[in-house]
Amino acid sequence: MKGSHFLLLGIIAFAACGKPAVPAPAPANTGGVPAAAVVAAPAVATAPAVGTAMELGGTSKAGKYKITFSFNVENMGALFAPVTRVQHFDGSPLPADATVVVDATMPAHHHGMMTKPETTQLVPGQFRTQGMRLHMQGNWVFSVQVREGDQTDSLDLPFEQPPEALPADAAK
Amino acid sequence: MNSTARRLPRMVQKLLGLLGLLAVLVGCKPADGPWTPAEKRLMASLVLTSKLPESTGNYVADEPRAAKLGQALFFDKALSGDGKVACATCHEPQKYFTDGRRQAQGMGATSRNAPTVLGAGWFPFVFLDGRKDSLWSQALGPIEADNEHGFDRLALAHALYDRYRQPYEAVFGSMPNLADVQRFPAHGKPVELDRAHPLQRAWAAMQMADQEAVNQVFAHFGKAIEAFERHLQPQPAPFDHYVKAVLAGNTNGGGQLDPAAQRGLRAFMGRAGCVNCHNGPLLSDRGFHNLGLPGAKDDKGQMLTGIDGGRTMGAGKVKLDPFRCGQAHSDAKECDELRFLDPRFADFVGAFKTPSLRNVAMTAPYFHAGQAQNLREVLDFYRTLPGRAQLGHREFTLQPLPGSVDADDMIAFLNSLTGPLPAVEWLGPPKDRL
Repeated sequence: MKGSHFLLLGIIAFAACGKPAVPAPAPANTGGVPAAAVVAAPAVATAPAVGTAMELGGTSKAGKYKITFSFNVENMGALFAPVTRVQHFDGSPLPADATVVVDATMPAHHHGMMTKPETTQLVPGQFRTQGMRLHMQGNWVFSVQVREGDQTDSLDLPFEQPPEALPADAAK
Repeated sequence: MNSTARRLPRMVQKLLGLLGLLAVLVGCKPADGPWTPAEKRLMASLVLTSKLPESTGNYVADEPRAAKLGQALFFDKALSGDGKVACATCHEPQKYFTDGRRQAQGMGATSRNAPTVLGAGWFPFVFLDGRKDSLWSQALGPIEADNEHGFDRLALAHALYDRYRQPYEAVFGSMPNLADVQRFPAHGKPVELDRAHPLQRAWAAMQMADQEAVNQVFAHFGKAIEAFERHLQPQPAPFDHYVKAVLAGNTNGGGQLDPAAQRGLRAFMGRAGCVNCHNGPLLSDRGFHNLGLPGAKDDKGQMLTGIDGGRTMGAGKVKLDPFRCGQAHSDAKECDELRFLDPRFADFVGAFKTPSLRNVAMTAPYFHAGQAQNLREVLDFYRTLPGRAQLGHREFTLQPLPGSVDADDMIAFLNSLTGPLPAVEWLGPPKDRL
């Protein structure tokens, strides 16, 4: 066998190595991670860390209310109790008989929470919801619905639940 | 090509050719590249932590004498109707506290696989359908199940009084005077929906205060068992050592995982999507999911009859369990897990608990009724997702494993989750006198 044949064999053999279960090398901006893994893996890089104090909010869909939604990011699967603050868009306070319903769903998974949360009024315009649990990591949408008399308006707030926090003793 | 070849010395050309051949022969599967920060963060979240959650409603859960008592009870076959069934019958230490059967077998056949006890204390709901909300109340169920221990709570109380009175009273205080067989018959238990049942009639004939005294002993039995089971924890596996080494900056992870296991880990966290449900230190979200599994066969190859409602039944049962959190024999009064549990959650229908994958290679068969005999059959199921759910619907996110996910790699990774058994002192009855 000539030397060029050995070289050709080597090139073919190395080329064959690109075909097995290992995905093709990713573009440089993915840090060398297989492209398929980047697409399918939970996007944990953008999720807030466990323990982060979150304050989400905005204007409700029909423009009636300004809503803020505060909670500490908990470990996946842990119960947590966010606080919702609501005022009219013009800044006037919410009446004492207004109510709030909070829910969370994973649209891509077609499911909500395994729990049935309860919301209580702390003071007019401020509510605590107990029994919230995001049992999977990934993209959730909080739904805050405000009812005032026979009028309702709502706001959807996307949130990415991170995986469980690194235990303090994991690196020992 | 020829001009390039001419520029390279013949020996170099030969070397390149041989290297290429060698790469083909050893499998052509080089490492996928360095772990990204996102992957590191995710794998760090899977590392085993020693922080066991607090018990639900058991004030002696971490009491050493209670653990020793529970250990003796766990291995005691006399606590059964035929004297042949102990907790350890279906939870054998050397089988990582499982029994190796498709479905558990006590005094009779059951319809479900026996899950491991290792790490059970991490789950807020116990049993595959989560029909109990603590380890101690879980231990009470099999005792009175006809096809498991086939015992009853009065017989259990008498056995404790006759054989374990001193260690029992050292932990829980005075026992009722069970020597008074007029007040405390030899056998009896509540039997729902069958008032004519002899055990129910014996139970119903007792004074209510005496019934409660027996229930207290029954609950204490469960609490001692839990105190023992809290010592049965998964131990760090090669996977944990690997991740800790990687996080410490050792790029080859201390050599703890071979390349196949590393590829399996990457697929587990990425393309295969396993980590969506198998996450956290136990590699379980501690939730319930409907995989759309086929019907199960028993150990003789006969199809089991009946369709198992799974979590939708368990969630209803735990809300009514007399030994649940907040009830008379629970030491917990704050019961948020139960308070906010929604038994009508639609996806509970036909769903079963996500098992921990710790030591998974040692705990075959798999799935809630032993539908898969080995890990390859598990992967075959996930590869094709055959048929439809018998009840409810299959988890929407569940997609067939991509062809690029290599079963051998996945199995190599799953094998790396096997750690040693707990300390040998917990793998049999106590050696010292109680």
